[in-house]
Amino acid sequence: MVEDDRIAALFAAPSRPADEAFVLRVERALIAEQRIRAARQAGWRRFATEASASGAVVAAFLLLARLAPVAAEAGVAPLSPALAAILLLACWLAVEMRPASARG
Amino acid sequence: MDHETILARRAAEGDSAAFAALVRMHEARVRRFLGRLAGGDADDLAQEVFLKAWRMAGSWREDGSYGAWLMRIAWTGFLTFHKAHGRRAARDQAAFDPDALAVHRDADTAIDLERALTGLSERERAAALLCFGEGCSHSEAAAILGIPLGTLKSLVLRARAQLVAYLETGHG
Repeated sequence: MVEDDRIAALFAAPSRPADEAFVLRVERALIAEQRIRAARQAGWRRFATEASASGAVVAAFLLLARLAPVAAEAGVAPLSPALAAILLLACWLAVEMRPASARG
Repeated sequence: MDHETILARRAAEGDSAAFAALVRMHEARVRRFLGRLAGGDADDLAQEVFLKAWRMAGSWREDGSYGAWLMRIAWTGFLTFHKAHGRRAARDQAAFDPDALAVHRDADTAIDLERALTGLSERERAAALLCFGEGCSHSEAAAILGIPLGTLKSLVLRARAQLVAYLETGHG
């Protein structure tokens, strides 16, 4: 039908070779997305590790705090659990806050 | 097994070179379809379509063509874009952005097509673009748009009637 031919002509688009610039753009976006995903996973892993470590430290000092009166009765003068906790957290902060150039 | 299926399987296993080959094979069609629907945002949308296809590469089922699967992602991506940005903004950009029209290489033809499609709903436009512009069968276009075959045929008939009316007014 003539009408169908005219409609087809209206929609006709010239064939062209693949647009390599667009392919490259998609490839770069894909690489960027993979990097972001990897960084996010690493961030979550680090968070999980540090949260576990913090939990362990808190548990250790809770235990120390319970044991301290017993040690005092026995004539031993243990390091105050609170002071030890502050020292440990300060060390941790010092390690975490060091400049990126010093992290190797 | 055809070359496209082999590439799609490799892409599903994480082979980015195979996926790049698929992008090379299908980018023109996807960008043309989105360019005629969304205008100036077509390339950003097309990039999103391919990124989504990469993320979902494992979910491609071999009972349909990879190209049709991509077009389905393109259509759903366009609908999301359309909801977010509004029909008017998309239409305005399609009508006046020379970059969007340059997708067709021949800007006059693109402007003619845009005028011919003016007044059609998004689904009618998409149905016309798929059936008249991309050579999809009715069943393939229905699958891409996610609608029943009967609905697709009605959309195509309405679009065709408008296109014929446009051509008869002497614009074609």
